[in-house]
Amino acid sequence: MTKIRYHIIQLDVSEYGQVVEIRHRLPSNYGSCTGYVARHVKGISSDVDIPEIGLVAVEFNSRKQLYFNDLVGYEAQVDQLPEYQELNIPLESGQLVTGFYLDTQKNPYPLIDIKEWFRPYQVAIYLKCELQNGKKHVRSSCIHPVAAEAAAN
Amino acid sequence: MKNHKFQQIRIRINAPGDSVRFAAETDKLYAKVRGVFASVPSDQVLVGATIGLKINGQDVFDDAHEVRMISCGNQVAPNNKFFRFEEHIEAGGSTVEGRYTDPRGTNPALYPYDVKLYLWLVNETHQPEKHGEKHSEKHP
Repeated sequence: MTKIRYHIIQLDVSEYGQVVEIRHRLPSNYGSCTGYVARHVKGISSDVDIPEIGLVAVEFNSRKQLYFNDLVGYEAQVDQLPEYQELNIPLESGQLVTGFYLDTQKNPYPLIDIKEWFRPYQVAIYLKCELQNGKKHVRSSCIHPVAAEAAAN
Repeated sequence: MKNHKFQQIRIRINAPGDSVRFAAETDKLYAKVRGVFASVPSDQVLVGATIGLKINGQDVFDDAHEVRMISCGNQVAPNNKFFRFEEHIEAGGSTVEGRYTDPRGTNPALYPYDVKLYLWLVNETHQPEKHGEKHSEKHP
């Protein structure tokens, strides 16, 4: 059984300077997050690389951990394999991944109206997650009160 | 017997927006799938193309996984082209199935085309590897 899952959070950016909220629930059987990549998927077209099209900030475990801020760029040509940045975040079951993406594109044609120049695009955040070992879903009503008290102590 | 094999799976895409299911079987003589690499004839069809992959019934990539995440340019050395799996993925006659989805709105002159999916099969025992680890670093 494979233990690694590549979880994808897709964000649609439809306006210049838009802030896109990230509010995403990871599956409860994920035990930890060990890497991420944030990248442009489609929409932008340019002959040259653009080092920054936006900023992304992501928090884990329902805002308890602000974990990464990163720039998202655009690559005009296919080059190296995208590499996952390392993380080591234990995930709490059923908690949210939150944050935002901010479009920071600069208008390359100052004389042209932004509405004519801007094209909607899509960004994806890939989270490399590991499944929890031996995770069993137990209903709270099944837990014996003495055992629960012992665990709390 | 050789320890490495690069098994190719061809997927024919006939029109923009095609979503094609594919299925194959890994070579029985090899124990493990070490990596995967996707090759397409043009960068234009890569933008927004997605691939889902299951090997031996186990989820490897969701259907929304970009093909770009497992492909790279010609300037990359052959040993570093493959996306390497960090965990043991059983080969030995395992079924490989998935779905390739072509992005809409690309140049119609590019169709039809073939996507070539290369599986790197090996016989060595399992050693956890880090993605992007250079071949030369392991064998200085």
